[in-house]
Amino acid sequence: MGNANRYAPWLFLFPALIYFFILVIYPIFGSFWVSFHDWNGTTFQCSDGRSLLELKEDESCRRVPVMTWVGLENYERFFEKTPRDFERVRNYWVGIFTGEPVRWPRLSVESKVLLNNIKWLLLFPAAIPIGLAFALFLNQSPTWVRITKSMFFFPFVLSPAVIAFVFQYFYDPAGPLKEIYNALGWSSGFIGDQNKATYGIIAAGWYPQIAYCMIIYLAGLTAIEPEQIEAARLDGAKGWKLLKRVILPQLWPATFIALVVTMIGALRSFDLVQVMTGGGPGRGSTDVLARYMYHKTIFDQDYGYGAAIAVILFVIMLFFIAIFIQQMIRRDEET
Amino acid sequence: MFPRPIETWKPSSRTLYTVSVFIVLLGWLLPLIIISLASFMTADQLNAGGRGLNMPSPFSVDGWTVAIKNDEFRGSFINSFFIVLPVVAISVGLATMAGFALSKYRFRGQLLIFAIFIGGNFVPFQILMVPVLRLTQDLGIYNTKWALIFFHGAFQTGFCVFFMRNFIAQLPSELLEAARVEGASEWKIFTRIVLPLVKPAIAALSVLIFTFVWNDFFWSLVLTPASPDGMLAPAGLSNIIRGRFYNAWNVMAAGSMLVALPPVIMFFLLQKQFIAGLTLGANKG
Amino acid sequence: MATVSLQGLHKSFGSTEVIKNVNVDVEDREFVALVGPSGCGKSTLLRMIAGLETISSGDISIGNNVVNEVMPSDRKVAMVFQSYALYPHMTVRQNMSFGLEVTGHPKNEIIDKVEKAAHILQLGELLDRKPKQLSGGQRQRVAIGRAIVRDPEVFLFDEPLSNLDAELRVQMRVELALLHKQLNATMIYVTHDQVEAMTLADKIVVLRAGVIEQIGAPMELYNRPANEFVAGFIGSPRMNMIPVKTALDAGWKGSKITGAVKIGVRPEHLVRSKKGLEGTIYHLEHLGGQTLTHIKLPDDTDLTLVEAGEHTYNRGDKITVEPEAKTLHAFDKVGKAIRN
Repeated sequence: MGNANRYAPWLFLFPALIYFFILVIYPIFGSFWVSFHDWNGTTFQCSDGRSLLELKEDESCRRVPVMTWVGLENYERFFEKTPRDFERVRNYWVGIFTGEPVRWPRLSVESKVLLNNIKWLLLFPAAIPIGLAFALFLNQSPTWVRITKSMFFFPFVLSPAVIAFVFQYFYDPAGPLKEIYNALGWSSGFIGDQNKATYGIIAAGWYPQIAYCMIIYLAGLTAIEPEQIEAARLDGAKGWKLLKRVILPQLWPATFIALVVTMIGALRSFDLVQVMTGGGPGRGSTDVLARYMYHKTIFDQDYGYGAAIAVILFVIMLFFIAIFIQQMIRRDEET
Repeated sequence: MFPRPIETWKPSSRTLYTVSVFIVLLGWLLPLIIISLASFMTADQLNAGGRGLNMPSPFSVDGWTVAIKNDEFRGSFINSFFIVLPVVAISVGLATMAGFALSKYRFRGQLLIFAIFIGGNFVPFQILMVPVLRLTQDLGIYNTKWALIFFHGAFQTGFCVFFMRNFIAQLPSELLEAARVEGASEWKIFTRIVLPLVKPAIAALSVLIFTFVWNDFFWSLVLTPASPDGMLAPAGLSNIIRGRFYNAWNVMAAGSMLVALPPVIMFFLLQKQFIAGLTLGANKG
Repeated sequence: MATVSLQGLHKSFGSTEVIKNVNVDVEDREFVALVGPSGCGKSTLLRMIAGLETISSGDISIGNNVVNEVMPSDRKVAMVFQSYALYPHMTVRQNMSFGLEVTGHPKNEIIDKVEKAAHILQLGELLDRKPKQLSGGQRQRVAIGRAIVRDPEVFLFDEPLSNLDAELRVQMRVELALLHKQLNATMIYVTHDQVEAMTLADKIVVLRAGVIEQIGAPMELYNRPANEFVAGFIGSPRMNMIPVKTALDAGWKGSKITGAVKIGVRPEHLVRSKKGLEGTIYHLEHLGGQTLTHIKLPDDTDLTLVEAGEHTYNRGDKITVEPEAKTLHAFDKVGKAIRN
């Protein structure tokens, strides 16, 4: 490409890059900045330092937030009770082991939020093998199977808010699961119960996620060279062996994508929690970092604290994002 | 093909398969079936314990008419199109140019820039919330649909760049070189060689972005909380329908189905593109 | 005047030098072939002439102008790519018109030139088809047509025949030779196939690992290869290389033999005889019009014998061969040819 216009690539790139930078990259740093301050979201002053009250009738000025620098205080506040809660949970499990009668300890909201995120991280990926199972189940070519595949994919196309509604209705104690609830003795239903609600939400999250994993795996299965499978069959491999030793290894790219996207999705689950339980019932029993941040910022007007929570969430996710990018680039260099 | 193609199965296995697929499909779609049934029930039937796998009796479109007649809900529904379509145009357009630059030229920092687009797409919304909120307030577009267009146009560009760059990378470079030797300027190469050849990718991407933006909930809450005209349909469903019709499950069910409709229709009309878009990159290598 | 001159050309990719001090002069209207094994740099050299690769040092001149900094489109060259690089979404006519359109030529001029080129290459009926509806040979002609239409000073060909099947290749070779005569233009042609080079070129440049091994007319390279590499590369089957001791033991004489390490003789220059090199036949190839006999000598050297017609030898037979007069080549310990 030797003598091609040297500036051409930059001209093509600039609009998207600048736009993206202003609205996505720069705000990340902005949030970091806010997290080191305290601000209630409503106090402003003029950029030249005057307070808004000093303005004359028809004068206006650029409004700048009045934030007080607090350093790491917001972060300290978040993790303040964590050691204590950690102790309490540990004692709980020790008690279980030694057979003593124990009750689940009272934890701070922050700890509950963190625990819920951990639950999401651990349980949400169950969608992956289930998606694989569905993909294997439906990997046939007749038209009616293809139509079925499309219908299986439905849930992914729905807004999480809609899914939240659907499951809210579904989980309602007076709803379709009424009989099952009676049999199990769950009087408040799945998401009405503090201890079980998170699991109900995670299950709702599985709905679109399984559909997504299924599609990824179906595409992965189609991409396997048919000759490899034929050769393996001629060698006598079939069924479970064929799956484990020939198919699954070839599906690794698909599994990788499904894994990273699912883990990242597990941490992003704002919509479902907000619509189904608003973080409750009770304080924080289903709350997750994403939603807690929103609540603290908009409703408690604690912008600094909210930003700190966002930063914590971001840092956790950065880990997965970095892995994804690294793999993408490495695979790019290989081709 | 794995498992073995169904044509090679015994007839009894085939029947078993067909039946089991049907049953599983029914189970899988159960929540959606129940909701659609609920949308056609009357409020009375719902309150009298009809909230389950029951047939609506009487069959009623009350839920639907109330939802559609509600001005605010209808407003947010229609205005969502005016938000989503510009966003699709902006993000796909900018990303095609950026993807072209990142895949068919060599320059320093291109890998880093590409990584930034990819990574930026995966960040949690919350880390952007406060600064973006302040930005829209400063620009005076807070609580209007412009805030959503402004934000999503930029944010979706991340995914779009990832997508278009990978797609354009697959175009043979010799086509571009031949055009260069023939005297075409870089812009002409882009418009007359690259664009016609990436049409299928643009179609796939547009369908995906339509779905992603239409289904957005968080940013409607943050940027247009008090503006029924400005919010996207899911927020309209949650804030308006849920607010006014809290216990009218039939209205909420109908509202849910309405909100779900556009992406579903897009999906059915353009399935191939949709799935092609999602699975790009799942099989590289 | 469409001469091309490469002077002291060097090219490096990062820290790897791929073109080392290349000097070539192409006369006006000459057909020059760049040959060599894969990776020798011949395609890179061609792309440098086209302006698609930068030059690390040295000069390229087209006509009387140094074109190092000139953009590809301004160099008045046209290139036919190995994969033809036809625009898949355009018809043949549009493919051929594209270059003229984007450089602002008036419509009737474009129509005129396209018609002329289509006539030369017999593309008349295909003008409204798209590339995917054409056969390999047809696509290749469109690629050439696209080049002709621009009336360039130099035609650059990058392995244009390698994607065609064997029979078509032979046919297209003849057509290319006729085209050269008809257009009477300067052509630079890259190939790894020495048969194409031998049959098409006025002058051949043999490249290995970025270095020019020899430049000369085809028969010059055939009869007087400058070193072992060129001797083995030109001519098929390969020239036989015999250790000098074996040759001397068989009684071969000649002023060239002293100081040599290897003696070369082409398979087509060996004849069966009563005395000479004696070996055992280990494989036979019957082509109908020729027989290739593969012989193993006692010192483990392989020999190939090419004779016209059909010969019914058997594997395991003993056979003795000797060279025809004045067909020996001698090479010293660094592979350079020894001349007397």
